[in-house]
Amino acid sequence: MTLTTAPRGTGGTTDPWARERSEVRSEALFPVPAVDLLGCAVHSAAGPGLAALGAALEAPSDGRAPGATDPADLPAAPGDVPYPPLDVRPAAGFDPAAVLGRKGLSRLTRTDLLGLATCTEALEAVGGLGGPDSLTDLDGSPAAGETGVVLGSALGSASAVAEFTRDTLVQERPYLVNPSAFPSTLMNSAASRAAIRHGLTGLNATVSGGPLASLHALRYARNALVRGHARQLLVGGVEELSPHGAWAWQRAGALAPGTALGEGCAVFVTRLSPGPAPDLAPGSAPEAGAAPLARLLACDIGSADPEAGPLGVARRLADCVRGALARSGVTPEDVAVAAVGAAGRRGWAAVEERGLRQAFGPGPEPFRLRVQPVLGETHSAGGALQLAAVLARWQGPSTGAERAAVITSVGHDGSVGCAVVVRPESA
Amino acid sequence: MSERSDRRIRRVAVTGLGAVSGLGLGAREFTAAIREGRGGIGPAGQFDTTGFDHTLAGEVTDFDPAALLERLDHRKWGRSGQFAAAAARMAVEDAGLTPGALAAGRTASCFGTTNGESQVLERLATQRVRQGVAHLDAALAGQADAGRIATAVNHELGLTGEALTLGTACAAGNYAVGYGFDLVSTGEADAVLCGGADASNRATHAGFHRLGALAADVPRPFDEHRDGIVTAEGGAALLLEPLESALARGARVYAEVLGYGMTCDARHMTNPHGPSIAECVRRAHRAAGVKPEEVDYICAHGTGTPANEAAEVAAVREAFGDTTPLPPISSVKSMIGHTMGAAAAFGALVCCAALHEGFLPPSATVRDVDPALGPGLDCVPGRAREARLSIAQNHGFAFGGNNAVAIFGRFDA
Amino acid sequence: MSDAIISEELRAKVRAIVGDVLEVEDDGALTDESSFADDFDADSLLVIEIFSRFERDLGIKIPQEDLTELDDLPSAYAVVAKHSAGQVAGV
Repeated sequence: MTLTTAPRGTGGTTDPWARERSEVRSEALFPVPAVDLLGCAVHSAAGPGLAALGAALEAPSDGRAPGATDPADLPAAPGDVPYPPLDVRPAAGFDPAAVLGRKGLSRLTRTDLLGLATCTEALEAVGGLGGPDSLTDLDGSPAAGETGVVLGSALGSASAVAEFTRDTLVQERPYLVNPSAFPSTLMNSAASRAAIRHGLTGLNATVSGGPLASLHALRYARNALVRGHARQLLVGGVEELSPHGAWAWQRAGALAPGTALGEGCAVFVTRLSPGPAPDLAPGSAPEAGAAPLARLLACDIGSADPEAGPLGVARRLADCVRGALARSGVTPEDVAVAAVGAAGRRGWAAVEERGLRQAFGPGPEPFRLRVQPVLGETHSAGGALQLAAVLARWQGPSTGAERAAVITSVGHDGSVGCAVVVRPESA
Repeated sequence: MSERSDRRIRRVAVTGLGAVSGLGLGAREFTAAIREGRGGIGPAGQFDTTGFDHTLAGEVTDFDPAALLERLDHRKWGRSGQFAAAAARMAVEDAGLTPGALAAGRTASCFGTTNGESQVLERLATQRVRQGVAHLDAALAGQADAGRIATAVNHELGLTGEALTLGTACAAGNYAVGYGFDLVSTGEADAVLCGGADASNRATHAGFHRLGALAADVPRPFDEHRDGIVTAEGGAALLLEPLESALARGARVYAEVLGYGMTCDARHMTNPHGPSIAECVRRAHRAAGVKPEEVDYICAHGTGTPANEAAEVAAVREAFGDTTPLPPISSVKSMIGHTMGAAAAFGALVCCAALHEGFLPPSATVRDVDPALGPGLDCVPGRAREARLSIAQNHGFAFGGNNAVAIFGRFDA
Repeated sequence: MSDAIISEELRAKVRAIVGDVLEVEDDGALTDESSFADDFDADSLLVIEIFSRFERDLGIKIPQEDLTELDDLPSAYAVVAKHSAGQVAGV
């Protein structure tokens, strides 16, 4: 389209807002190169790894945690901030010292630990930087400068920011804070520490966006790979459980009834797919090199003003899903699974469901893969955990006919997103 | 790059600028102050400075969100989001567009931040200490996500495209401009509001205070006796659109975005690393298709700490090579302080204004240029100098070793 | 010289703080001859954390110009002694 210059002096007063809202934009419909998801690591209430996640999602759920929460898994609470009366689900069996060693861990936030350990395991899942299928520079050395990190995070570590700020209020002098804690109060701490640990000197980015943060990370990473800013990216989302964050959820009353508050992190090793986007017909040729777990086609994000009504947000989601499918060359009938993200947030499950129904029309409805009953609400890690849940499902024996899935997220600020993934024939 | 032959790769113009700064509201006022070398630093007022040894900050003292924002109910949004939304609205008006025209197309927003909605978090932390955690304000608890910064822009302007907030700390403004450039050039969006925003707050001030990184007086980037930063706040926005559509509607083109590069030091959380910065500069040059000798001006990260300028100047020398003389390099932080996630966005704005109007922005506070930074360093002391520039290079480096460099070119119609 | 006026008790506190910040697990490993950087990987941030803990835990104030390099226990004793004069005299 072409922008039109406003007549001078009219300002914004003549903007026909009402009319504009009724004309929902179509997405950019040209296809984009596909991105391979080569390796994955995940932590959540289901325990470490895709197999544990798959098993927990398979088990019949009555809305309770996969097992009783082990108190040892619960992040520590300061004396004046006990956990509120909420069902909380920490990452089960998460043992950062086993992955990272003990040294220096006391200085890391829960977000740092989850992000750093999961990035480390994801890299290990593809054999590390120097593994047999690893990316190399022209001279054959591991492509550390072409490898980077993109993590989604709502605001970094809420508990670290809260404790740091508390120190400025209660110490004898306000600057008597712990200097080592200062960099961890920034959102980019976990991604930066992953780069430091593994010497990843390529693009390093942290994106926010509440429940959309993980989809933002996937979209940002896809652009970076397509535009040549990096050749290999660790991409994911992270969210910590803390008593501070739990109180914020409790006070805001934002959790849907019966929803637990969870945490977790999922990280995927991504590269541009070596060939054209796969068609969905059986028998499409496998790519050279390691078989990807799945292939990310489109990942589109949009927004609508919720004050204009939740129906507008649902319409915007439908538009987003339709656009993402069209760009992916995937028809609604091809989509076997919709991993939904808004179920944990009071009032928003209905908006998401309405958007999906609009997008998929009268045809067969994709299976709704709901992670919240098992993992709890995981906010900025949500999209990444939903994607991990799809991969975990596809590793199971009974889903061989499922070819494509969508991952959707809806934020209470009216942001919506949809990623499309397909299972290559070779997987 | 092979992408150049792709018909979807479009040239990207900057046609609108917006600034909410300690040096004034609006790009015109801000740029005029920069050219004069005026200072925007004074006593911090956004938080209680009792007990701090250093109490200066670069704050936006005359910010009236109710007057500047038309659609956003500012009471429901944090100060960082308000800055971003106000700066974005200014950029739209500066571009001669209406929000309606942008909202009718595929328009995205993309803003960088260091501390997100820091004042919201500070108020929550204060409630926890004073009243107890069970008494956190419910509405405030829902305003804490950093992602609301870009969302505020979308809601203020009625945009339906993606709203991305980048948390890459003090390099985030360049990340945002770069991502906006990619969105427009690849056709993912037809216009992007991009920039950065951060609010003055207690925790950031305390953190830099504790690190011994706060200046005793104003910041003096490139000065022999520079002793640190001054924390600051603000919001800066650029409107990016395809050059073709800008020309078709007869828009004023401040500059073209030519490309950008990013690296990570991957060494230390707080110390900058010259060789990684040099590689970032080389990547930006490659992406933009420019040679070092074509660069006429560098808008430095230039925080005013001894370590930053030492690493930054050494990195530029490494990237430019022995045979290329250093172009003039200056720091607008000398005037507005360190606006954190907005810093690189202010730098980008200044680069565009400098290319369009033809001046070299000054390092206003430098007294004795640090001889340790080496010979031939022109940091444009004092006031701006008239100069016709073709290519400007904007630096943004951050804690965590996140580096981003963006390249802008003058556009002659 | 200045370490002459620092009490054994304060020395022990200083040593404990340094050991804690540098995560020295073996109690005997941190000696007057140890280098914080070479032996325990201390970087600039950890050195500032040590100063910070001196201020917080010992109730002293160290001016910014003294927040410089610190690589061994004798210098740590010296900087604490210099800024806690009066608080520990005679103890």
